[in-house]
Amino acid sequence: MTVLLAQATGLAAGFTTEVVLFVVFSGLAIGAGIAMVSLRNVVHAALMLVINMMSLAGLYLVLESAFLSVIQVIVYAGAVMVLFLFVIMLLGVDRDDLLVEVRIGTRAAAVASGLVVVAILAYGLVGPYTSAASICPGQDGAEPEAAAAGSVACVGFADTLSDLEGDGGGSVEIIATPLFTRWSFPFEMAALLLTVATIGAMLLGRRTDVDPDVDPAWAPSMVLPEVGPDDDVDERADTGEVAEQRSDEEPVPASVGPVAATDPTDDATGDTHAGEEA
Amino acid sequence: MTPGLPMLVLATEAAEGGEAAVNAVVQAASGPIAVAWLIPVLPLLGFVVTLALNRTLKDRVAWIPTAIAAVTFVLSVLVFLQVRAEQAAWVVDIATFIDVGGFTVQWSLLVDQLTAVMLLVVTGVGTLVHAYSWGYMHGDSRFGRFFAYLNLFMGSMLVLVLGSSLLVLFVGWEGVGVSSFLLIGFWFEDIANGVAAKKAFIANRIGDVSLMVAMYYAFSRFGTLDFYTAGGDGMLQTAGAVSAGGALLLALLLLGGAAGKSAQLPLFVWLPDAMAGPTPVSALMHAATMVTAGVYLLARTSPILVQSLDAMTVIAWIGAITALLAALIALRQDDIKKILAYSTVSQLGYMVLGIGVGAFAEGIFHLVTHAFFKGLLFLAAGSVMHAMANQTDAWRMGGLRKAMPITFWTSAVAVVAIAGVPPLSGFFSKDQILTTAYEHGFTAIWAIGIVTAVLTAFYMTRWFVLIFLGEPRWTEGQQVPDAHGHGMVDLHPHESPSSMTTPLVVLAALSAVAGAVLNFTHHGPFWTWLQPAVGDVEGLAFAEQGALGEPALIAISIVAAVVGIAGGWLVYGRRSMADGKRMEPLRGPVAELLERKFFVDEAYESVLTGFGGWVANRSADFDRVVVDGAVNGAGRSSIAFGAVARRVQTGLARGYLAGFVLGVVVLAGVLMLQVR
Amino acid sequence: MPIGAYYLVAAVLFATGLVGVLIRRNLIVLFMCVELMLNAVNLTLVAAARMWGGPDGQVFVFFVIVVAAAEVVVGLALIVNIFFRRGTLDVDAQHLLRN
Repeated sequence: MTVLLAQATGLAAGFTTEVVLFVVFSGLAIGAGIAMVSLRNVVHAALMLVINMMSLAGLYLVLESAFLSVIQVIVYAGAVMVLFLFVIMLLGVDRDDLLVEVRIGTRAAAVASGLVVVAILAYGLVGPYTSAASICPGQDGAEPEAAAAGSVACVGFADTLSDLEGDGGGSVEIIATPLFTRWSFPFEMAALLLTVATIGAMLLGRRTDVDPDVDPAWAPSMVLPEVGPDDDVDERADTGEVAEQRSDEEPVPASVGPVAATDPTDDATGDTHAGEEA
Repeated sequence: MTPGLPMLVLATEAAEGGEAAVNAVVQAASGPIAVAWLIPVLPLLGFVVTLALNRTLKDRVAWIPTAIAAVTFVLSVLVFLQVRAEQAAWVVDIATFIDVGGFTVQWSLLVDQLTAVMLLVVTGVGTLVHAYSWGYMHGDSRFGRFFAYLNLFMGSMLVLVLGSSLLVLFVGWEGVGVSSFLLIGFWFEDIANGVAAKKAFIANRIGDVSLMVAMYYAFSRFGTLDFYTAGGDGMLQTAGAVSAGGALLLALLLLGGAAGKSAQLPLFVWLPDAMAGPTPVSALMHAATMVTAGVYLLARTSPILVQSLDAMTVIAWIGAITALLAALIALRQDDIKKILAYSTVSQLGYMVLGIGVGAFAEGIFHLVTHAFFKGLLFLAAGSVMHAMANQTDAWRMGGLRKAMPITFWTSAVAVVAIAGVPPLSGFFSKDQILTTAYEHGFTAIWAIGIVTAVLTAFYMTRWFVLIFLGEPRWTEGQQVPDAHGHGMVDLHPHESPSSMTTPLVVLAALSAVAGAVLNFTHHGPFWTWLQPAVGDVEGLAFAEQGALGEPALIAISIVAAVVGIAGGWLVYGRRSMADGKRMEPLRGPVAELLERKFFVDEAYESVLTGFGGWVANRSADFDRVVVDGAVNGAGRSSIAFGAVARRVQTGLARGYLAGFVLGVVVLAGVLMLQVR
Repeated sequence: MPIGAYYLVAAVLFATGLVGVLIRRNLIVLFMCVELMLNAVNLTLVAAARMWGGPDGQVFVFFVIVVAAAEVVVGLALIVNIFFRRGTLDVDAQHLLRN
């Protein structure tokens, strides 16, 4: 497939097909990504994200992961982004130009922190994989080079794919076999997760037109009773006073008092010995 | 003793005379001993169940603990019979208590001759007291709770006497301390009762600390706390290996523990105050069983005591001085229970004295007979109080003989028994302790014992006469303060209900005959029975015996008892006591000294509130300035930090996100630096 | 291309999403930025799977996509709910996390 693409583009020698496709798709992905972040129109931003995801699908194709590429298009660029657009249309928020950070300082700081992240990732993640050895053996015949010291050689799927080609499975089989053997339990859990998410979304999506200022039932846990520190102190003082008065009035517990006082003649059994003096 | 007297054989195969048999240790059990663990477990279970059902069943709940007490008594009898048939020290493992590395403590029981005796005393007197409490506590608002506590006490006490190691014993030891605290302060509505409970608890704690140190020391010496093991490496089996100094230290530490629990000098002050508790408690715990725990401890560890004659001498002197001092104080007390309390301290002094002079079996013998007659005296005192609207002042009584004949006659038996008149039980046990003291060369201690015996007979006669004889110092229908000191009730002295008088009669019978039956001659069945379980005094280098022979010693004992009773009768019985306390023969500073209990309480008070108060105040200062300062400082700094930190909590989700991102960036940076 | 190049693209996408999260105030856009970041991570996983020639990376991406789908469903439902309650999607309009 990539071979076909390479022929169709008809590029000059020196550029392998992979390089060309990489440049095209990554350029598109990055450009669309930046556009998404900066476009004020939400619908436009969403469309930019669609382009971004399609480009990523292309990059997956270049990376010999045809199955994921297809999934990316169907699930992300298709279903997920359509959902986004639905919601945007539903809420009618397609044009809220105001919802962009206005303070220049914050924007600059955000961009700066983004650059720092890129720098860190470039240093730590990208660095070791830039040598010629980490150029993967492509299906277009490029041979891998010996790994230089300190860098890592790419393995790639070329051999695996050519072995599988006879069965007709291709990259689907690469992912399917482990998915239904080693990862079968997480796979089932993923199915469960999707079910739960569907039910949850139905529950959350019910239209409940309630004004939070009117309906006290809204988020009850967030509403704290209005109790000032002064009230608290007063309350404690009050109860203390009451307790003191009570103890003054009746120092004898009522439970043991009356028995002996009422019936002293009941000689055999009527006495209580509570409070006996030692 | 006199040869030719009938020997009542208790079916023991151990050799008669000085030759002490050594128990074989059996680590397995069959028959009743295999289920001996039920004896302590049932009352503890009964405690929980009774408390749980207290509200549901109301007063009927008391059937549970009472039945359990009776069942434990039956079990104890079965265990006793098995020990009698197969004499050995049975060690029964039940469960693992502590298992840390190489150090293992088993919940295990030790059943031997000494244990069997203690089991019978505790469960027997315990059952009688349970029955007595039905009458005495009737109408109390916490009737069920009282029985629950009694069961808790019995369970703890049985753990104490059944424990096969010092640690298990200690568990029971603390348990009886707790239940003692609960029962002394049972009527906690009166502040004084609560104070008395605390006093008892604290005095006991001092002894407990000593016992704990004793345990540490014993473990460092023996590497185990087990008394006996089948392998022969129990601490009592290897006691001979310990040095004289080590044995002295250990014995003194054990004495410290015993002094706390058994109310010996200098820790005896709690026992008289413990009379604040209900009278059945005084009878069961503070006369018959709990206070004898210290004596039991010393008898149990007697194989260690015999390693150091110095330690035994100290023990003997502590016991003798306690006995004398308490008897002197008892001479001039007015409260009928306080007199008995000091009498108990005095008799406990006899027991400790007995342990000290090497009369281990005799000490335990006195413990048993004392449990009978002192338990009886307390129960009789309770009966009197029941009749006299809870008054305890002997000077407001007198002439109660007619109103309460059963209490009168049973008390008479108990008084004669404690005074040491043959053939009642007190004579045998007390005389045998004193005879041993004399034979082992403790002549001075013997003399103190004789003097104390005279005093005992004297103050018990006074107690008896003031309550039951002479003309009444009250009038029928007289208004007296009721139990709480508010309001008045009419006074109508009467005999107590049968639930109370039955235990009196049973105990009176035991007090009368137990001495003669158990150990008529000095080295009689009881003595022989206990020999395998206690230390062997054969090897000890006692001082030379005095010139008196055994018949002379017995004669002196009898004369002492008779002189005491006669003196008491002459002073209090012959003259009219109608004028109350003014008729006391002795006046002046000596009487004052006795009445104020040698100012021991005051002395402790001034030491504790003086020096102790100073220490406490300085500690309080330290606490206020340094500790509170640190704590408050921590609090203030938290508040200050919070005041600053709360500004961060803007509630803006993106603000949090920014912080989150910052954290991720920093972490990722660190991680990457490490990866590269 | 060396695998590092893919990593670099993923890093840039991730940072872009991050910046978006920080500077946008519309909840939906914020959510889309999060999706962008997730996709960036997916890219690294796919690239790594090829690098080492093993299937686990791809399986992992599969699961991430599944979970992301579930997350989007629930997240959007929440957003709809919030909009109905508050009438706005501005995360700064009300202090969301304060009572």
